[in-house]
Amino acid sequence: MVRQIILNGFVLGATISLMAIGFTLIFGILRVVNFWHGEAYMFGAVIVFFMYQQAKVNYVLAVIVAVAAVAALGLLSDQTIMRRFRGDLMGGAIATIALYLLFQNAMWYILGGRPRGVRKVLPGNITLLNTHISWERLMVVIVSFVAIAALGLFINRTRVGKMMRAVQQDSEAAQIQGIRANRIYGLTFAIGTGLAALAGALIAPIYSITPVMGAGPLMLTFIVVIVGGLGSISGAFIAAFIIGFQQSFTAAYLGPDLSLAVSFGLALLILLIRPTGLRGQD
Amino acid sequence: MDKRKLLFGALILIGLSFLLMFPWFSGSYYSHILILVYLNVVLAVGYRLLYATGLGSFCHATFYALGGYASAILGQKVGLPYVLCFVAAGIVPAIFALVIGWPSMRVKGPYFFLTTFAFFMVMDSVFRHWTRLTNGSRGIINIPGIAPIGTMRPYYYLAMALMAVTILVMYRLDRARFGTELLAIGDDEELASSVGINVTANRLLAFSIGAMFAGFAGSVYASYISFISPASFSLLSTIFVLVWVVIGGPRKLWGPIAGAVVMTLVAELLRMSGTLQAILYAIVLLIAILVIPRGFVGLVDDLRARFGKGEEPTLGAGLEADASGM
Repeated sequence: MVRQIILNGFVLGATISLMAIGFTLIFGILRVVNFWHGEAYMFGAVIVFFMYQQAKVNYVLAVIVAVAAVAALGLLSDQTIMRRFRGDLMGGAIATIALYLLFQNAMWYILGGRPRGVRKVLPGNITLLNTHISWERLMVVIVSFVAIAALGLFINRTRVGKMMRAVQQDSEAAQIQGIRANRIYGLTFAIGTGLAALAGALIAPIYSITPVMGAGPLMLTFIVVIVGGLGSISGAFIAAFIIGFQQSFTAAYLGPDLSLAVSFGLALLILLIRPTGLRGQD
Repeated sequence: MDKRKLLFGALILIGLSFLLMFPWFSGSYYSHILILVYLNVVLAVGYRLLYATGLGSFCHATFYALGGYASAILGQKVGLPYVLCFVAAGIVPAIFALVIGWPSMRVKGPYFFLTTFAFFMVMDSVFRHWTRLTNGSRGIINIPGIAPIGTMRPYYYLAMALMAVTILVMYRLDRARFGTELLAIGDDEELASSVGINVTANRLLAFSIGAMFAGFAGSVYASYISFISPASFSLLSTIFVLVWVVIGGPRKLWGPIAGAVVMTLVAELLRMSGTLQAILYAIVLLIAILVIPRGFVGLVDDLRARFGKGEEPTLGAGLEADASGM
């Protein structure tokens, strides 16, 4: 029982960590609260549904297309709309909430409210620590870890990653050094929403797909970044697993209805005793 | 100048008597729409208080819901008289606003957005799952009020009275030091705090007052419709309030009123499905923040400035000038 709960928490933690890292990256560099992050996740799953389930395209290709398409949408929204709100926290939040409303309802118009599913990608289970886990769930964890490791390497080891860190620290100083901050902003938005789409594309074979499926993960993302400290990637990573385990344990022992309320209480508590989160900067 | 004031007063009087007589000569459908308009105006001017300081919450519909549920549960399950239910409907959301506002406003940055959004989701889940208290998603039926269920006119006047009182209170607040300080914070948070304005305390108070009036509106709504369920108070309702205030412009009291009236009537006239209505609201919101970021109020101010009508400087601008002269 306990092992099953731990494994469930691990899978949930991996999914939210992709979401939360994308979210915290966008906030850390652009100072934008991306309310349509849950819709990026939903788009990831829906594109996999259309390509893999309807058009019978290979699953891996479908995932790649989903991530690329959503990243392109993120880039486009940044360069057309979000660039008007640089440094304007409230205006930026309103713009992303308008996009949230638009994307979710446009998808509802196209797809309708009926839950969809896709056929199995990797059938079968594997026994791990004397507990059964389906290959698909294990794949979610593995691919998430690979993606996060790759992102870490990209940010810490490459020239472009260095530019991103420079813009995060001081965008004006970075621009004086010849870094085109606007391009970095667009790239960051693309990476952040692409990560959310990856999370959605990975869970498509596990959960049911609806236009409102992004709401729950978005909510958990908010709690994770409060606990982890906004703008910190490592904080988001650690907090995602804390919240994943917490959700899994509360759901098992206190009932699933209470698990959201407990997470929220935890976030309020963190704000009271350590407002910058586990690894927040300022 | 006096002539203009007289004309203005006469227009308001005519409009008021028209609205007072309205349910006696028009069909119940139009009275129903007007009741919704009145309640939406209350929601909008309440939301404006905090939004005028440059900060918006994402749980205004939750306060509306809390007021509705508090009133419904106390009236139907406990059997309290409506007056007490109404008072409780204001107090409960105000307390919740203080509890979630205080930790999240102390911290700079967007924590307030995240917390209020999460609060909306948590309360939605509570309304759905605490079935002993809220009957879950089936909702509460047969909610008592000031008149038998199904009557229209008493609720029409109740909603209208609530709107009138709310606008009067907001008008007084605007003229008071509190209102000036709120606008000053909206103009420049750091400047305001440098002249000794307590930014967090002012915002917290504005947030709670807005929550209280949303609760009152929720109580009137619940007893008028006599049925509430979690579906009555979605995230969409919160965004609608945001849209009214954004397109109206928060700097003056008439902005959110105009926004709420126009958008409620337009949405009702077009009679679209929920999905299309949401898409319309999304597009209106995007266009509004991109093209008229200060709303109708800013648009009118710009037009007046262009056509040379001397406009008295707005309160916050005056304070800013004072502050920079210090």
